[in-house]
Amino acid sequence: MSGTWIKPTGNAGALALLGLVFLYAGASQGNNAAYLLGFLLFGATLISILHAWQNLKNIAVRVDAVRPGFVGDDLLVPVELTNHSGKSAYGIRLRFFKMDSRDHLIPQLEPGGNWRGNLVLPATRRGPLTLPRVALSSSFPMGFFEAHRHIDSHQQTLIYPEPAGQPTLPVGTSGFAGNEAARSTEYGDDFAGMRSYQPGESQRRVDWKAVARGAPMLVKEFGGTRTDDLHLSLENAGPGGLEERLSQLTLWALRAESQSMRYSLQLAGDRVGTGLGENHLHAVLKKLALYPAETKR
Amino acid sequence: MSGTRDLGQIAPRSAVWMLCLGLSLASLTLLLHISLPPALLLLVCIAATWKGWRPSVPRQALKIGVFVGGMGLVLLTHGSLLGVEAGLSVLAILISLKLLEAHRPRDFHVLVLLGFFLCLTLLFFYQQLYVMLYVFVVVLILTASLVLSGAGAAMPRSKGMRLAARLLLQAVPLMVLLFLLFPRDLVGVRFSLRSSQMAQTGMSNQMLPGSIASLAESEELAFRVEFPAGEIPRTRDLYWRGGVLSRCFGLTWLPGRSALPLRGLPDSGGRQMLQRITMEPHGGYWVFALDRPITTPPGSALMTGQYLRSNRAKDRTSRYEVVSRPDDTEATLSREVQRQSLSVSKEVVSPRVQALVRQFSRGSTQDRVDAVLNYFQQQGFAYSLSPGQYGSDGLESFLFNRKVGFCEHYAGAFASLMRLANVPARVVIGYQGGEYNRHGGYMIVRQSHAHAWAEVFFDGTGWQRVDPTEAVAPGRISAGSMSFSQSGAESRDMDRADAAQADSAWRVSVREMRLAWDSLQFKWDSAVMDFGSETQNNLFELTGLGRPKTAMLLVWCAVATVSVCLFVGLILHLRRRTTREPLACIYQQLCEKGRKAGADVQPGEGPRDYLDRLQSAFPSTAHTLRNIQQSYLALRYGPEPQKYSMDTLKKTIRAVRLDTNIKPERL
Repeated sequence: MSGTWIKPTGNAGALALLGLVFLYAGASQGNNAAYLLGFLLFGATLISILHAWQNLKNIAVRVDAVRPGFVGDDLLVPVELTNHSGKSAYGIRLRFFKMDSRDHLIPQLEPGGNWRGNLVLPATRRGPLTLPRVALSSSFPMGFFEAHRHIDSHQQTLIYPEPAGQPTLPVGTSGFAGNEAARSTEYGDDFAGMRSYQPGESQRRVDWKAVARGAPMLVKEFGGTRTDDLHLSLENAGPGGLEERLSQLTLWALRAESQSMRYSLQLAGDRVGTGLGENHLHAVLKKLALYPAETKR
Repeated sequence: MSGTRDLGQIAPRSAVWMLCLGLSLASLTLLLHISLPPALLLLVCIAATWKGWRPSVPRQALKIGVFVGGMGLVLLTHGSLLGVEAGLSVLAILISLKLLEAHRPRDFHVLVLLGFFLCLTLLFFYQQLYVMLYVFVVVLILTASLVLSGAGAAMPRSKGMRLAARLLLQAVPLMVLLFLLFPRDLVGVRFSLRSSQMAQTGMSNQMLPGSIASLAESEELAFRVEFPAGEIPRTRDLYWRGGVLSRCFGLTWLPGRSALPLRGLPDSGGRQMLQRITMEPHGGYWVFALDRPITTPPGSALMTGQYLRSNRAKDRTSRYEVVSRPDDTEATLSREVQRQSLSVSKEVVSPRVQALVRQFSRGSTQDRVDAVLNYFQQQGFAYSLSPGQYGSDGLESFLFNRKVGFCEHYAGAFASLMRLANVPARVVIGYQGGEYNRHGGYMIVRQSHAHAWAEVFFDGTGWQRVDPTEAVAPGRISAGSMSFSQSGAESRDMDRADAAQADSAWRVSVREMRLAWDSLQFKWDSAVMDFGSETQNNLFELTGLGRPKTAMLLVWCAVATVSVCLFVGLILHLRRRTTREPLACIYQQLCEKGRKAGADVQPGEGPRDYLDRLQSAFPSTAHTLRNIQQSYLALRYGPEPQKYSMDTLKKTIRAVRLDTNIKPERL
């Protein structure tokens, strides 16, 4: 755990100015009352630094694993704060270090209490993403000094390319014919197996009878015939630049997955075989995410 | 452009409430010293902020309107933007503006800092103990508003006050250390801020009919006197010599044209009186001392007439030691002084006065003095605090028609008559009497003790005091003018005198309380408010560190600051770190009660089993224990813990009594 540091806030400058006014008033008038009040405020401000530090010192921060996301998405980073001190902590702000993301204000954290919430992290570039440090700060109690602590979670996640481009699957190249919409509503021909339901997925193919018996939610998978397979590759992803084509492939992979159409990926000598399902999708998207970027000439 | 946010949005209501309270209390200085319109504007703005009320005018227009209007008002009422009152008015308008336009989070802090500045302005004018206490309360409230603004709406006002109080109390040791250590000679004392509206009361440097009577009803403090030698003079000897007036215009007397330093003081070898005087600022040059001073305190000089005169106007509290010798006096009269001491302005000497004076111009000096005093006693002269106005023919009107006057009328008339009877005479103004404060062992001299008397030159013995007031109203000198008039002797109104008797017990206790407070105030003044580089040096010499240099003092300040911070930080750091959550703490309390009652938790025993066991062991409280069990289990493991109140559980567990008298059957 890294240390808790103190830095003055913007208000501290104004306070320092007022302090000089107090000193000048005390000295130029020989006004001991002004000295007393000035020193009281000075002392209280210094003591407030200690309180600010103490306020934050015993707050433990835990950053949970983050699910991969797409470029353009807002990643939700689950964070949990626990107050290990015997006193309430107040006015805690939570945000990512050096980012303009909106910060969370936790007005009060009881002794022993905890707070759970999600920090929002916009995904901007595809590829592996190491989470930025989480900045925990509080200018409580006086607002002239801020205690802050940076927590490096060492969490990594993967950012897939942004799904974009032609929504229509390149069915011509795969020899697949037929009404796409009809296909997605029909149960298809061959029952391929069961897999666990993923949140956000269409519930049409959930095995409700099994659920009624108390089994976990399972999804029936139907496989089309081999001729329906979709072959994704940079070559058939349109005329655009590398990033656009990667986006196109991402979109198609998602659509194929949602339509339960088996698909494969060929990427410059790297290949993911034909398949379907969560793990397969992840394998494909991972390849797309990690594909080396075009070196600028 | 700047949005429509106001204070209500940048800080929680409780913080805004506290800020408004603090600001309105802190603007007391303004209300006392500025004209009504800017003060009203400020109050209206504070009230509007408090109520969350906003005018529907665009902010920019409002800002410009208030600014231009406000500055116009200040110019109109004060004639300029400079000067103390005008400056305070401008401050009031700026704070009003800030209240109206606050929209950024830091505006809240700016307003609090302005509140602190207002407290400082209050201390510019008043440094009394009660003002200091008032200012500390205001600072507490303003600090609480800062605490509340940082904590969000979750914190109740009382909690914010408590936290602010703790913060300030923890700052007190540092405040005391810095106060003692901070070098006082960084900047020479440059100015003293006093507004013209708070004109200092004090002895004026001339005596017009009524000028002393105007002081007589003021209970304000003139100075306090300690007698380090321990001997307290009798009340009738307490003549505090201020100034000597030697130019006579009948009832009006003015000081001599040029004040000359006194040369050649005869040493009578009589008894001496050492006094330590703490004098309130009075804006004049008088330095008061018992009749008659023989030493000169620093910054003053003994003048011809044997009175002390300060080199600069006394606009701040001063403290000095002076020795007086009642019997000492200037025994010789230079020709120049003699000529001055006999001259009377021609226009006041009417034929009627001259005819009267002829009666007095016989015999020795003492005969002439007695003749005039007899005249006052026998011709129906009366003593009054409010003798009415005397015009330019004051002397004649006083002597023949109205025959009513205050001490100054008698002193002035007496000295004029003496001069006309060819006896050198002059008027002395100062104070007579004093109230001994046995709580603090010092004497309080108030403005109401203001007095004027005369001095007459006797060949051989020199200048001697003659107090004609004593001849007219003998009680005045022993009782003091206020108590003299309150006792009913002046009004001759027996009903009032009876009433005064009736509530005298009450009056005595009030007086005692006032004296006790005054001694506290005096201790505060002499220990804290008069602390300066000299006291600081003495303090350092006491500890054997020798006289410190300014740089050394600054180093000491830094050392004090760092060590106090380290100390408080260490305490905060060592504070027990608890990892237990509140619910576990509550359960622990119950276990503790069980242990005391002889039913300790067994190893591996869960709450459900333990409480089952307690219920059977203490059947009288089984019902309560069952409730505790239910709500604890629900809070801890239940699907809907929010339906149960942790506070209720806490209270129930606090209240539950496991009766130890009954021997538990099954343990």
